[in-house]
Amino acid sequence: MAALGELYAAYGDSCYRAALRLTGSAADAEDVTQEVFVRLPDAVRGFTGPLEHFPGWIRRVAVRQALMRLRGTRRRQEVSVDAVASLVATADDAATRLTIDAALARLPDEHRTVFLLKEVEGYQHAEIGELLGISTANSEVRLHRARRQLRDLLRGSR
Amino acid sequence: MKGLLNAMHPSFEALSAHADLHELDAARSRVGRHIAACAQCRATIDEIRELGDAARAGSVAGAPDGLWARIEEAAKAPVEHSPRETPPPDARPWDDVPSLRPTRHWPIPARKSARYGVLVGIAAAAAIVALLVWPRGSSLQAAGTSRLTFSPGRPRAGSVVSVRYSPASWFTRAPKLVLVGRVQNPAVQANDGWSSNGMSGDSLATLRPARDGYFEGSFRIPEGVKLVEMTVTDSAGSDLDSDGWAPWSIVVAGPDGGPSFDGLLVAARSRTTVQGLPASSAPRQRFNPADSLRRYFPNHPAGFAYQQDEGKEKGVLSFLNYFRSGERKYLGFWEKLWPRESLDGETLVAMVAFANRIGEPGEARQWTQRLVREHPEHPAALMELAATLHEIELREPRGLADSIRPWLPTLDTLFRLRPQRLLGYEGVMPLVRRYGDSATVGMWTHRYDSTSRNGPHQRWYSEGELRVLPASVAAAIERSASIDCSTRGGRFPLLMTGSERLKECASARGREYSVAARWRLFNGDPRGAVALAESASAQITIYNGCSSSGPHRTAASAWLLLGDTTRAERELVAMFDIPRPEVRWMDTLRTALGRRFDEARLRRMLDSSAARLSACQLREMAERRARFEQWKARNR
Repeated sequence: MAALGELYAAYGDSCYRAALRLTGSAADAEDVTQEVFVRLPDAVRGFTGPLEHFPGWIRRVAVRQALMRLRGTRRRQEVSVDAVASLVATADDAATRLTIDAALARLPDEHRTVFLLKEVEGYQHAEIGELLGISTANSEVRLHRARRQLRDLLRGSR
Repeated sequence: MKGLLNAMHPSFEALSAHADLHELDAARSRVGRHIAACAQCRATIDEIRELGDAARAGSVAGAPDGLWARIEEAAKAPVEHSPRETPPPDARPWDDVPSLRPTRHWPIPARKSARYGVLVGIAAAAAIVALLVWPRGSSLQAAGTSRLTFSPGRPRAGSVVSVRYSPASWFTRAPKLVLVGRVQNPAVQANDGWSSNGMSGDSLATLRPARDGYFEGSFRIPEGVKLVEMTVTDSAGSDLDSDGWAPWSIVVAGPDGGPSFDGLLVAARSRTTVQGLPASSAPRQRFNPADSLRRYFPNHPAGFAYQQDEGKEKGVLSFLNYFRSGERKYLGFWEKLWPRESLDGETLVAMVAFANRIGEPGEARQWTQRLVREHPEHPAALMELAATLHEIELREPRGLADSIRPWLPTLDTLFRLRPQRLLGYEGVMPLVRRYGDSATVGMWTHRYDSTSRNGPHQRWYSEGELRVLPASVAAAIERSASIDCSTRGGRFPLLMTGSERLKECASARGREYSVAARWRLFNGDPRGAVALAESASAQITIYNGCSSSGPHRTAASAWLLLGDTTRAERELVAMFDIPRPEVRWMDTLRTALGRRFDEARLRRMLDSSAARLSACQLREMAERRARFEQWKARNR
């Protein structure tokens, strides 16, 4: 348990953030992080690579878990009041980021997910296609649409 | 014409894909060569990259404090643990996660196999056979449940046409229906720059139920008309039916009894579709005017120039093949046509479009110069020349102003020969503004204001020149805003239901009121600004059921000017595009309210308002999407 605690201290935030970005919900992100770490003692036996690849591996596990949750829970099409409140609360020091977060929250799930996987998590389209069960071309199209929508939303708010 | 200009700048999708390329690949690509010379497209690429940068730079909150305790507890009793919403039991996120690869270079498992290849071959053969044996209907027969037929099969202008409509399921019990149509006369359309924006139609005929379940009616095609585009609506205008995403079309007969060249040309150039969707991808749509042009007029380049389907949807090979065969065909036309001493205007315009379509702007430039020389009166000459000059801008080195400036008098001559309604900021106006002297710019600006489709305030929408908007223009905007939607136009929408048209109209009125309110605010009339801002909010609410930040911001400013901080505060919290205005407004309110300023209370109000409005907008977006999906489903 102590070792798990150390791993959580090192990578818990990273997993939680990845999950929060993808699910858009603090409660879901907590569940995802919990799933990842509760199962980690078993899962880590499958990890045979050098230690420097462990952060990427565990983050990838968190991403997959978050995507499964997205698929499984059929997220509600509305903005979480918590999310908006927390965004507003940090408005003074991060106006630009706040705007893009608010815009991201308004994207359809399928577009936001592809945008985050590509731009923030650094996946290639072929990998995104695999993760989401869609074609590479579809992933590209979703990314373009997400970018267009984001651009329009951000322009509209200026 | 707009299509031609769009063909010059890469699409947003192309720029988006380009933004992801490695630098070397990016520089080598066709898009790379374009953006090397085009500041506008470079700015778009920068904007796209900034979106990613901003998303990455965001500092999302870390895991909450109590989470580890919860994990620890769950880890001690994993069997009893049950998350609030359990993922599918067979899903294990780590099952197929390779452990040794860096994220950005993940290997993709090979999926292709010999069996896969054989299956693809069989499927392709089956598709070809199906294509060959598939029954083909007439140009007006739709593949769905509804169908519009008419007789005679190829009517002439001035003749009476009988229409039979096999109704869609949602119209079967209607007591009567209305055939709404837009008639296209090239001689009139020419003055429009072959516009495709005319979305209004007139009632052509009342369709009454016949005994066999069909609806029947008749109408006379006016003299001189080459193309009729039609949809069917109920008498209240609350629902409609069309040929997929586009109207049904009648191309009148030419002298030899076949479809008239002019009619097909107008149809090919001005496809009108619902929500601006490409006609080539319209489900159920059978009529393809470019195909008909190639079939009936194979010796004219128009059928190739206005071909909408480039084979993109069939794959990369098909797309490449389109260019390869297009280049061969272009060369054939070039060898045949270029040596002739004179050519008709339509042939020259088609060759310009053809050259642009296959990505040969140098060729397009030569044809354009010939068009301007031989047919300066042609309605397309002005816009084609503007497009060519823009190409010169993109490609020529410094000192290019010397190559553009001498053309300005020619632009002037072309406009005088054929005044245009669609000067378009993307066409003539940017050139004039960049290379003309102040008198030239003034002259063209006046032309633009007096000819643009949306009246004098179009320029404000293009440039945001509110502070310098003349009082007369502001008054015109205010007058326009005050016209009730039910009395505007009085014609039928062609591809929109009546309620959708009313909403669009309310949105336009909201924008006009909003502009007028801000103008009043900037010109020392805060009370007038408040009144107009309230009208703007009311119209925007009709449009989408939600509020909009602009009018509230204007009203809040106006109330502050009038010293009424209570009302200013109320308007402030009604805005939703927090945080940018919020930060500024907090400071303003802090100063204005003095000791009464209560930031915590204001923030609570803002939180609540923002959540409410965001939810409203999302709901509205979802409703729109549902309407569109319903439309798609109906037309499959």
